[in-house]
Amino acid sequence: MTQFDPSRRKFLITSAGAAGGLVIAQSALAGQVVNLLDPGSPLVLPENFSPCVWFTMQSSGETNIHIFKQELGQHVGTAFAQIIAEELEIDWSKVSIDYPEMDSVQVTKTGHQGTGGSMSVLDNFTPLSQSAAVARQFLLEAGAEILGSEPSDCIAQKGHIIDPIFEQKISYGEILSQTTIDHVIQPEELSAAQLKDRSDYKIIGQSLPALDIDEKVNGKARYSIDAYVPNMVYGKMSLPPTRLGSKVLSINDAAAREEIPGYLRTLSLSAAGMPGMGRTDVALVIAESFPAAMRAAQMIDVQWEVPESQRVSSDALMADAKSLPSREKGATVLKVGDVDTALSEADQILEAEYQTSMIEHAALEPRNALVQNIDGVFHIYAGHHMGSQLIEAIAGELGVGASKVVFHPNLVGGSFGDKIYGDQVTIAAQACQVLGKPVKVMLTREDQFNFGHPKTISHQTFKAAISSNTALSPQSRLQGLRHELVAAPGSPGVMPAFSYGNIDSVKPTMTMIDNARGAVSGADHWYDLEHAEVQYYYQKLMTDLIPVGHVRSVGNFYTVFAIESFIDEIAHELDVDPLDLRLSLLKSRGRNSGAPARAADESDVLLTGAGQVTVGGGQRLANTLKIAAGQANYGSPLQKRNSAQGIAIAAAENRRNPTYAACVADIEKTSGGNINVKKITVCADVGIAINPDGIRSQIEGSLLWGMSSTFFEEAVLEEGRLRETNFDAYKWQRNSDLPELDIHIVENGVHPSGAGENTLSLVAPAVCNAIHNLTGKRLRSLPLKHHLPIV
Amino acid sequence: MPKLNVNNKSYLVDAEPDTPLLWVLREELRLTGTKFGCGGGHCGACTVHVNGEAVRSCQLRVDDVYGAYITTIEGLSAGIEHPVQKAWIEHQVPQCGYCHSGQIMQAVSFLRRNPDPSDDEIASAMRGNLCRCMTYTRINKAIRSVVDADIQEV
Repeated sequence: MTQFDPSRRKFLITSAGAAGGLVIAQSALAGQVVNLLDPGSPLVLPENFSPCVWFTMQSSGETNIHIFKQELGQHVGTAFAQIIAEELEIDWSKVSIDYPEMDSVQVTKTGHQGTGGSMSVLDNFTPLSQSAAVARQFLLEAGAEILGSEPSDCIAQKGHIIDPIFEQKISYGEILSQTTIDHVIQPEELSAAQLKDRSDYKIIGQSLPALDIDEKVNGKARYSIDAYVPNMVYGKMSLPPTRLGSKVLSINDAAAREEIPGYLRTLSLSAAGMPGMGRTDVALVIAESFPAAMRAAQMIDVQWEVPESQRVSSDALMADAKSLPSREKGATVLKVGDVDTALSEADQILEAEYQTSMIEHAALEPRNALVQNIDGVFHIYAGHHMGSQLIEAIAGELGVGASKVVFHPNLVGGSFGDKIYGDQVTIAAQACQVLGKPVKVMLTREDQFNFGHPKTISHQTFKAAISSNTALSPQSRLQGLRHELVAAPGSPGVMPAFSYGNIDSVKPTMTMIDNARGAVSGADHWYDLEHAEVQYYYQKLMTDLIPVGHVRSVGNFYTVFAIESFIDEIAHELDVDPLDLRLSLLKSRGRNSGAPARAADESDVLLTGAGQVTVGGGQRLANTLKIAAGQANYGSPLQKRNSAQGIAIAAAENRRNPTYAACVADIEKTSGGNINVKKITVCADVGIAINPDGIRSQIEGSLLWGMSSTFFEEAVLEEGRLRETNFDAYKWQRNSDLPELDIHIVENGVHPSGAGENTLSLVAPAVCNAIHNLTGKRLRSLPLKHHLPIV
Repeated sequence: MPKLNVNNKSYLVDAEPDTPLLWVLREELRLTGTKFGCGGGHCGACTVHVNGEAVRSCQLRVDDVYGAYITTIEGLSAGIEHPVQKAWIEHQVPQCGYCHSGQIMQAVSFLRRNPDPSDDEIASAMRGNLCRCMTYTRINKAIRSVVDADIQEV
């Protein structure tokens, strides 16, 4: 690589027609392509232009965008391609995407590339935009040189460098056919990149068709369950009687050996979802075909040692959660002012308890993995959110260096957090190492339930300090709010928690708390309260029994359900419209202002970048609520009989990456007392919409996930194992009784935020608030199927 | 060796007679467009056509369909020309895409029998095909658009 020299970029190694006696290695080949069937074809192709890890431009001008995020159905590749194509000024028809493999060398170039938290676009918008803008400038300078124009006179437009003064232009393909730009973009160039003004965007903001749809309608899309290599054998799991804690005592496979053609052997293995999580012993039944492995698994006699402590059921687990705050000290997740004093001095204390159940990922592609050893390197074919972390984890499991593991991404047949976990990959890799053959492990649906990572249960308690002084405004009568939350994290590790001196404090005192990842998301709401506190109690029993997972919308599902329901309870207690109470509490005071909009008070220059995604804070929530309420005719006297509306807001996924959104649910009660959700009106402020139809699609899915979680979904623990193990028993939203979805996207124009999860958590509280408005009944536990019909 | 007729091709199949058709298609014939979702006939990801009827291939023994005409998503059209596939693209239906081979095969068979369905009939025909990305509203819009376009042959 040539060294970057800011005084004169030295990436122009060869130039057609340029004076100075440079070695003209490729100018004669301009525009030509190697044709191996033609003996007269030149044997040297012009070099690709690959100034960064994010894309490669061929000398034809075709541009391949490299997507290191995993495609889970969110069309992240299309969004990234739009961002790059915009700043690079390329013709959209010349864009394609690929998903490169991940190895220990690649990770040094890309950094860890986890997919999750609705963070992909938020985190990558700036680096991708900057890289593409710098590359565009390289092309402009190279094109100007060939044209003999001043770079400052030239512009880049739709794959061409144009000199408007001399009315000449050259395509990117022509430039790269004559010139090699051999230069890797340096950090100082990124920060100096000249980004386009948003008003000049032509590709960002367009609902372009996703680049991966065609293969998903003709059977050609390749998921890891479709992976195949010659001579591979198949592994079917035989799982223990409890999700965690049981040990294999003995394996007797005599009957399978006798009777099942193709049966090979059964291995005793063990794996965890990720390092630091509980391990599960597994008997892996190996056969030459998957049907043979399934047949053999039914005949294998595995004896297990099952600790009595693991034989716990859902009722006992919830009872443990309920009593936890009286037994243990919590961790302070949020503190504003002094809520204890406010409660002790309050005229009245309003209290309520909320609880929710475990929820399965239930992605339609069960987890699976194919692992093959080629010359000492383990090649993994699997769907997984975090390939770079996976190769390190698998290397650790196998006792080999990270350079001996390669991850090959595949399309993921739905995840919702399921494929954050890699225990099936570990099992396949261990089997491959033992057998010396490629091994493909597939979970059946029953195995997926019994080897899954469902969402934690939750138990929450609120105490609101309320003044009886009716001369005060309603929001002033709400003098403090204490929230106790019992749950368990979806992954190990610490996270920050914040304390503020008072309602107008902007700078917090930070502490780190353990065992809270994903569990407390959404608890640090955006309401301006003089005194507020959230205490988190990690329920160890939960993770002793089940290796809890991050499931779409993580903790927001239950924290937003509880907070948004309880705010309505407070509004009714104060005799004020729940909309008015919310708006009065969403004034962006202190901690709720989000990021600073300007570098200095006097400045007109607005700050940009991922750190500015929160700018505006509570006011933006208020704005989305106003829009949703308006669009839904909130409070209209035209409301039908036996129907009502309920509202909710959410800034999921969390404070660092909020997408401010609000919702109105229109419900109707049937004569039999069932609740039909007729319509869900949502407004989401996504900052900048890269692909509005793609965002809409994610919100549609999120809202119906919300419906499903609100009404139906419940994974029940029975004696340490999930009771429901297939879709006949574990019920979720089908293609019937769908509400009308009325989705409104707004943009504050600063920085894009995520769309894959944020609106999910709106549904439960909006529906429950509507049910209360209609029937007077306050439903404080989910799923609602246990409360229906309401008679 | 018995023969299986799939997408107008004849395959010699070496499988235990009670092997589910799904696994023969996927692992022996390498027609992986048909997906495994639940193995119990509950989700519809494995839907194929047997003599034109939408069936759950995880629930059929392979020896029951020797001699039958089987169509999988790979055989529905040479490119992506079927009106239902085109509608799926037009409405940008798939997210992860995993269930959509089954969704499309279900929709095609249904529309052949009932070319002018009501919305309720669409919902009842499709309610057995689960989609965890919950693309249901787009599935229904895509099917509705095929019906409204009054295409003679689906």
